[in-house]
Amino acid sequence: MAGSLSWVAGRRLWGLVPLACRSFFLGVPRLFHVRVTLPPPKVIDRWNQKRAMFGVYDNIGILGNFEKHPKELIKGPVWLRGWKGNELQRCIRKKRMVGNRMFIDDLHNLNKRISFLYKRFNRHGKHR
Amino acid sequence: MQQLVRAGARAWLRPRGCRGLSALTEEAVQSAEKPEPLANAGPQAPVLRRCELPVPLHRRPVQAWVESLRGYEQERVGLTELHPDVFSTAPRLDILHQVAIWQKNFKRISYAKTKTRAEVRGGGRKPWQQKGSGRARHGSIRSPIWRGGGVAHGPRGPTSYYYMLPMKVRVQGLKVALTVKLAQDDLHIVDSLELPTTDPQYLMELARYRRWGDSVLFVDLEHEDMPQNVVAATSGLKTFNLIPAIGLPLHSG
Repeated sequence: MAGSLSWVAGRRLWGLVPLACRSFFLGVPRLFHVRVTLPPPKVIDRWNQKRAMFGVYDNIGILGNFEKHPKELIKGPVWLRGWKGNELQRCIRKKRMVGNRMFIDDLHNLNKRISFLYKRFNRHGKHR
Repeated sequence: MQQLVRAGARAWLRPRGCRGLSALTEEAVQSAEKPEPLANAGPQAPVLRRCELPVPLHRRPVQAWVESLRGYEQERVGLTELHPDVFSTAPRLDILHQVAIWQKNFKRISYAKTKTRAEVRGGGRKPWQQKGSGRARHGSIRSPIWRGGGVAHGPRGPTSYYYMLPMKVRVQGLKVALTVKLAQDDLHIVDSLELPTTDPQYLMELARYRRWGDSVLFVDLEHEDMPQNVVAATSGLKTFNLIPAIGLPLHSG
């Protein structure tokens, strides 16, 4: 079907050929912009300080006489250091640990989220 | 990537994974007592070291050359014996993979967070009445099907991916890594990390002469008494790094 229409050049077909029969070689509307040149290559330094020293001190417990645990190396929010939980557990832990110093709006949203997730997990779905 | 280890450093990785308090001190003392060969003497006595920890009767220690960083030609300054339970275990690539993935992920905390329809500002009022306007029925302008509305099942809050592998699995991973490095000629044991100069160029030329590869990790026993020359030379280079033995990673760089 597309081969039989190849004798008519380019743009004259845009209006004539319905979209279902259109092949890519008729051209795409310029709204769907496709770049024809490559972007400038992203320069990544594979040996910067963070990448070169990745993983150092992760075995500080087994090599260092168990004075420190690797979970003490993790940098992040207080309620998430060396701990993992699903969303409801994370919300409850955040409220217990830092709830007294959160902004009022954020605390209100957190409470709403806790009550929504509690009802969701314990009253709906297959696992309750 | 290659690792240079001060001679005797590795024997204190206890072969059976049990906790040992005295092995560390005994090892540090032991390497300080080993006679250092003089820099200017001619033919010197070779540096020999036997394995202190008891070796199982059915296995023999692995032997490795001891090198020196003081001169270009000073390879094979001595011979050391290494414990077979640490330096010739089975090459368990699956354990290596597990530990490498653990090292990558357990520290990860993803901070991606989107607002739900309850958190997006606005959207408390019903936009138009339920019946009669001819439009689709809606309850708020911030529901997920609206433009500008909340995200229904997006990432929620800082998420942590922390988990711990059993200690023995992590220990076995380190042993397998050392075994593999030694077997593939990527591990070089050095009597001492002292350099004749502070020049980073000297290290690069040495690495090129001895064909160590593009990147070298220097591992010293203690953090306190690292020789100044090595510290200065490696701080100038990106692919040559110096760490104390307590920070030995399974995979770095």
